[in-house]
Amino acid sequence: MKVLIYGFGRMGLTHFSILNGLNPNLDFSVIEPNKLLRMILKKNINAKFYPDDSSLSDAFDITLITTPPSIHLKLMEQSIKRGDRKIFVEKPFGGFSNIKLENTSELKSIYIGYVLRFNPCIRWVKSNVAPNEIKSIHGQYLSNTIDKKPKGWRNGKFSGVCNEMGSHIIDLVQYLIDDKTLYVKDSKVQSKISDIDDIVEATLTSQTGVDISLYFNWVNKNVRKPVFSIEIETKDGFKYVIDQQQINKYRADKFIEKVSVINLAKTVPYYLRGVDFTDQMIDLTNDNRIMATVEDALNVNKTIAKILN
Amino acid sequence: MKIILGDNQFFGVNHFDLQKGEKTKSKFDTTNKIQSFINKALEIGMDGFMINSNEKGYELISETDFDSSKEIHYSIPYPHKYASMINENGMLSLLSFLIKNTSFLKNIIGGVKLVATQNLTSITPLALNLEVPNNLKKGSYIYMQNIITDLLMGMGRGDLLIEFIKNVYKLGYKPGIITLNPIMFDELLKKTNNKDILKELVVCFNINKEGFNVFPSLKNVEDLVRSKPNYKLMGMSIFASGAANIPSSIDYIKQLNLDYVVFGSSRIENVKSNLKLFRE
Repeated sequence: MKVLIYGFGRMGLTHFSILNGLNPNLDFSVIEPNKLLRMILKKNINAKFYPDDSSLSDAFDITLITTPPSIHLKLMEQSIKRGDRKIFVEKPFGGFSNIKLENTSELKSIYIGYVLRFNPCIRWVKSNVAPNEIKSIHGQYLSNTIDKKPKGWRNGKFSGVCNEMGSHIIDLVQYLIDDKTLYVKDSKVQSKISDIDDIVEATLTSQTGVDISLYFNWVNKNVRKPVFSIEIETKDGFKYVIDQQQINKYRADKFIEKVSVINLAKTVPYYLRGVDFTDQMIDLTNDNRIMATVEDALNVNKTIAKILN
Repeated sequence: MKIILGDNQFFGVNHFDLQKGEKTKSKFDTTNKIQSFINKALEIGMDGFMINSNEKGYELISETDFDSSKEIHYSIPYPHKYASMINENGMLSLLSFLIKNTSFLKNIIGGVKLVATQNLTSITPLALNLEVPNNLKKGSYIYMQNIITDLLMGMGRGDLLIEFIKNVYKLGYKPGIITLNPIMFDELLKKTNNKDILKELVVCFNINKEGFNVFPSLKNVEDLVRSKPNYKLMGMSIFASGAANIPSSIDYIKQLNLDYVVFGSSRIENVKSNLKLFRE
């Protein structure tokens, strides 16, 4: 199987290692424009390295686009043109300004890297809480990512807490309520350290009438690493509080049961950075049952655009 | 079986409950508090302690003389520091940081070699020089953290881990490898011709009765333990990050006959009662 990776930063390297760890017989090509990095990689990694894709005319079985979001669309179009069979684009798929695409019939084999869908707790919720039973949902993402003003594109419109972290939560909300049309009622956006959105609060409603509230903060000094949480209230009076590691179920604020990742005891054949990342690549190379589609991602972008504007 | 105090509680790591992790971190907000807790644990009979090379861990080892009869298990690197560096300034920033921050005199050969050949095998002495304090008692263990171990194995560069092991020996220390893919690492060692490197090697991996974060499966890892490989085995996450029933977890671990176990707690009474159950 021939695999092409655009960009060999942290995510490119992570996906390469997972795919190679799962199947060492894959044939990798990597586009990395940085000459020095390419030279080092060539000597150390078993893959073909190119400065750009101009010499690549044969189709690839899988293409991963893990560059900064400003060039996601351009590279996706080139991959479609080459006839690549499956294309994976890292979230947030071009950022919030990317809300409309032409020729959507060609987009069926394109998937977006919303990895939290693969979290074992989210998998449990998806299997145990029916979307049409959800009355309200609150999503939150906290991190201490930014402690000084970021440089380059990370301080521009393709970055910000909404694009980089909030997009995960908006995707999860859409996925869990099974409704991609969200209306923003009000939002508050604050810049604390960067020139873009550092703290975002919003209330929304879905086409099917689910009440939604969101809170994203990537300048929170009280957390060591990124943490997300989702709270769901159902029409029949249950409440589910979900994070990376557990689901607590309540009825009228009375605790009923806890399901933890320990109960779920998910295993993967090769582990790096969480079972979610490995499962995402397994899904990509197999039947793509869980991955976010282009349509899902465009709707996330539309919602971000409405929140920020 | 030797019993080692873990360090997760000092740095807010709890794989089961993130909020609990943050709370315990605030209990250990100075190196003095960490040092005092370690000393108490050693006094009640723990065989040694594990500590990461983050800012506090490095300072603690640099400035403290611990009971010389106890073992120090020092892990490198502090992954979050490097992950943020790569996120903000790209992959090359990592190499440039290593070259700029290592001791010029000690690493001139390694540095020049890295620049001239671009071969990452020359990076190991630089990383060791940067991350290991001079005061670390000779004969102590130096571990490679799992995020790097597992990344290198996935990349197909397990040979860099073998280089790491050799370089640790050269410095007068004993090598350790932390991995969440112990079967893959065992296969790597089986392919290695130099069996001498296995003598003091400790391989640290997740093992618990619940099979929580035990990869690729609990059965595979139990089979590895029972195969009695030619290196030492250390079990971590033995209480499934605090979610398990402790006495039954300890009974389970005891029947595996590991060489080492590592566990942490923010309460010295818990360390004491767990130790008692291990020694019974």
